[in-house]
Amino acid sequence: MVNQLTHWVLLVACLCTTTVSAQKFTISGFVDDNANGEKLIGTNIYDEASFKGTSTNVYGFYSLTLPKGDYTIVYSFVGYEDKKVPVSLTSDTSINIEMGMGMSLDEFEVTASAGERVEERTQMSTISVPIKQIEKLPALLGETDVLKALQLLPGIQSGNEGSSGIYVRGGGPDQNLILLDGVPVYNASHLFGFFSVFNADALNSVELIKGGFPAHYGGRLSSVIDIRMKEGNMKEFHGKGAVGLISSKLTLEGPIVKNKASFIVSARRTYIDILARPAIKYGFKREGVDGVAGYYFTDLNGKVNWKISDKDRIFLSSYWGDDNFYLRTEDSYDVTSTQTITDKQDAGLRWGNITTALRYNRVISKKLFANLTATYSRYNFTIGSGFETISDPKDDDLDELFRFDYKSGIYDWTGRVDFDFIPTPNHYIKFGMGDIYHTFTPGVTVFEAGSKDDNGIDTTYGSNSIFAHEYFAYVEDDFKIGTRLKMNLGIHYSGFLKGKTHYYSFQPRAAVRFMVTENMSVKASYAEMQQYIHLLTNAGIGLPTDLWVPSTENVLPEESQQIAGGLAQTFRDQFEISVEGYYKWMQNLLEYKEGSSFFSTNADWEDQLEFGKGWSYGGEVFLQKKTGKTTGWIGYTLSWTMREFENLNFGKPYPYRYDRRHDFSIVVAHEFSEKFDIAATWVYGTGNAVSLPTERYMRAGTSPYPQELEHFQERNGYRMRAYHRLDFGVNFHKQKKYWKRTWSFGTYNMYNRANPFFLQYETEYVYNAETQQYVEQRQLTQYSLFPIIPYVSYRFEF
Amino acid sequence: MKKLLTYTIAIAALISCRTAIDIELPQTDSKLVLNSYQSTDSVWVFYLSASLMANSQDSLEFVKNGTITIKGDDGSSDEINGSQSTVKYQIGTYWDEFSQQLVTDTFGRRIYEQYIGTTTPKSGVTYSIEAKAPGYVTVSTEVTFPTPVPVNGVDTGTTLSEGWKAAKVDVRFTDPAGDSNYYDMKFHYVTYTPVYDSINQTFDLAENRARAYYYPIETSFFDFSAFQGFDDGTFDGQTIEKSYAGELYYLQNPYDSLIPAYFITELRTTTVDYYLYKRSVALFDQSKGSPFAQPVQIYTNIKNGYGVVAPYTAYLDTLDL
Repeated sequence: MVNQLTHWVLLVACLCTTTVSAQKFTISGFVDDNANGEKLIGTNIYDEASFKGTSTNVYGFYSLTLPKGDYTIVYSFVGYEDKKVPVSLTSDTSINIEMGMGMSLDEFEVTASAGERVEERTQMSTISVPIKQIEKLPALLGETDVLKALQLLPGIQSGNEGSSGIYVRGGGPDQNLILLDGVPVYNASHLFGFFSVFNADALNSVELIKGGFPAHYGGRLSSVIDIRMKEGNMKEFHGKGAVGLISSKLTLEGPIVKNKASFIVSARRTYIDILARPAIKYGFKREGVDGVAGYYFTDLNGKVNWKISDKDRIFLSSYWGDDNFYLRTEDSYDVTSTQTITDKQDAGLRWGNITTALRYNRVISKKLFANLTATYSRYNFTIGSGFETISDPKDDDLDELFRFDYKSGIYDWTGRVDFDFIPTPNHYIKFGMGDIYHTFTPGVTVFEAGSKDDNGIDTTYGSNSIFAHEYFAYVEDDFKIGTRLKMNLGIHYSGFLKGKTHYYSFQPRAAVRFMVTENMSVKASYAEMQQYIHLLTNAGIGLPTDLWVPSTENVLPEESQQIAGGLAQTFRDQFEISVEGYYKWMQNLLEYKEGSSFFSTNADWEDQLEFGKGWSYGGEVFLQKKTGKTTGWIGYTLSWTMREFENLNFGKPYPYRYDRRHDFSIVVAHEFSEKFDIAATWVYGTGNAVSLPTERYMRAGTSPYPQELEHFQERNGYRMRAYHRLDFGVNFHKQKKYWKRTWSFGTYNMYNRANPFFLQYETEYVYNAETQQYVEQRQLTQYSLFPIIPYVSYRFEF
Repeated sequence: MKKLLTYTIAIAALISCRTAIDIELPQTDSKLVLNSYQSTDSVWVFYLSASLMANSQDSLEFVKNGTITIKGDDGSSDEINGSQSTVKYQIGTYWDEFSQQLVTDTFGRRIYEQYIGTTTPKSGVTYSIEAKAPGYVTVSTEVTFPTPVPVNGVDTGTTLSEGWKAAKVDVRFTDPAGDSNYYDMKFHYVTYTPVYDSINQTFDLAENRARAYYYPIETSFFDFSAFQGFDDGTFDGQTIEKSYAGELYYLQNPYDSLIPAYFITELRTTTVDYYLYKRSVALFDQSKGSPFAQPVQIYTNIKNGYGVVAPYTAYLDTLDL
């Protein structure tokens, strides 16, 4: 292991060697949007003559070292007007740039990088999606959803109908590192997965990486979804909001001190529970009880950004989200002429995330940028129900209490430091380290029964809290060799410490790009990943009841190795095409044992697990049109994903539930004018693999009545029907005196396709006219979730 | 919890569209299903039936015209042609809250279709069993009856189990070292009811036998499963004491000591086939109908068919109450 590390470090160090034959100086600074002061991440900065250049990092910082001389430095960011700055480079120079919008950002675009063409980037398997383009897509119930937009990209699959779950190249939903301003989000779903927790109005950028992971990422096997919040308008006070069918949202941003400090706060809440409350109460009243039931979700994003000096910046960002499903009833009745009984019942399912990040940026030198981050992340859920009988006047024999609560959660404290070191235009070096202190509460049940005032049962059982440290360090270099070859080599070292259990690994990362022609390149990558925390998820309907659990003495870290290769090309300056193939191996995967679910309240979650391996391979094609009135993309994935567990499916390999042979999507947007644009999406996917009983027979035992058992020929051996749907939306914009408004109309699932949600056998009693008797009829029933759903929403900006 | 789950699913069902669909399941021929929980205390008894497609509207039926042959490696053999219809009445014993005593009632007429042999299996012998019937592929299996492991001792008492005062039963036995051994624990409660014979003007005692459903004391009450099977993975070759908890009244004689009553501990020494089948069936029962649970594939040791021939030997410890 040490030798392996040494070899990788020496290799990276050799490739970093620079020979100074001429005096060199560095131009550095930040690139902002001149309208609001937001960082422009990925802006291309290069010398117009030699094309030597660099790009801004996630904090908008850049550094470009060139020999002494005169240059015209070009700053280029898609959608903004290029800026050309003449520089006489005789010493280290700071140049901060503000760029203004050029081409209309209504042009629909998905690019491999905001500033670089797809064939130029070393990184493959990476896609950035501008938020403004996501807002144009037709959406379920009109709710713009970042994760749903990612599901339209090749290699990315959704889970069940309507779910925000992300399944990347055969990986599970826990194998995605979802970061909000660098803080992991453990459950990115509202409303049982139908919407994500990310409010697009508060976001600046979304980047998805599904292979060839750079060394500064680690901890998950299958993908990184790096979501950055806006920082707040440094110059003016602005707001925007929307009123939709099920929720409303409002975002306010502005300067605290102009050009020095800013804030942004964004809130969203559903109100279907409030609107439906009278009807629900009436329904209960008809049953003779007082009752209320409902569901809501709410989230709040906030950020404060303070530019202390040209070299120092502080950011404080926070997210809070909550889902609450509740039911309460109360029924009073007289048992005698002098005594009244009141029965109270309640049930609830509640879950939510809190994330907080405090970040300090420091430009240490013209070539060295540092970022210190401290974060806190919390996810928990509680499911419970209770029943209480209260007598009046009090009678201990009649009073009763029953309460059952199940809780689970994960809490993280993280500290990390990251450096960007750009010694020459040919090298971009990143290195850093950090530690995450995890606290897991995999599942605790609190049970209370008896009378309130006497000694009934009051017990807590389940897993105790588990504490662990996850630490990491990395170094990587993105460098050029000649004019055609570019490589990114790095190593990610990580470890996990829980009590006396210690796991660690060195994970090499490599990506290479070779320019075949000016517009075409071939790429290849290799990445090893390790994951120390795991999500136990149920096979059926997605619920927030999935449990996050750590690696332990008995539960090994998950591992993966992925190779990928492909080519990328731009043609006619409008179209980008990329074709990729990949193969991914996965080990130490977790599944629930047969018959288990989170409802199994065994003493320990470790007793409910099986361990195995998986593999996934396939090819992806991605064609996109970036400019013009009509823009969009076509994505196609052909893939296979298998699992193999010794104690599942009798030890034979079986298809993963989300093994989807074909996945196809078309996204088109057309701008008729500044006032009117339309967008449509059509998606197709092979049906999910499910376990269906194929036969039934009598069980062993002495009962003479046939008690049935069901036979599953193969786990996940049957395919649900293919999934496909068409969404369509139109947007009407109008600039009013003080604000801009947009009416959005659209339809989800325009031709009312009954896409399968889940299948099950059901027995119905059907009248037989011949025998004049009711007979049992057994039939397989498909449940579909969303029929054709129109939506309307009103958005405003000021 | 169930109410919350019901409402959750009800809401999903209300907003979802439900469609009966025709599915082309892979067509398979009906297979013979051979079942037997067989001990060395009785003659061979089998149940033979046939499987159906999952979406078939037909009812499961016994196969009555089959032939079952048994050959032991000790030279023994048996052949059973056709099943016998045995009429029995169900006897149920339940605890009556009002009278605070066990009540036995006879109800229901049952017809058991059994293939009943004439020989009794023996411990340590391996038997090859084959079943055939017209129109079906012949099925077969091979089983070996284990040597019974004796119970060293049984102690009873009371305990506080999750707030409830419960009966506690400690069962001690010594596991043979070496091979993997499998066990199942059952408890029985035997009481007698005086019955007056008006013809002979005598009192007889009618036996009431009930299963006492006790659960391993280290598991949660809410995870109680009817299957108490376990293997010797953690105590191979050692003397072990397993503790169980359950209802208090199974350790009480309802007639004090005037009429006999017994608490019987039955330690079954079983096989891996017995263990895997019963465990898979218990998991199936627990998870059936739940969309959240993992599917359960039922174990079988029947070649070309389904079901199980699950041999066991039993050691009974009887405690006078």
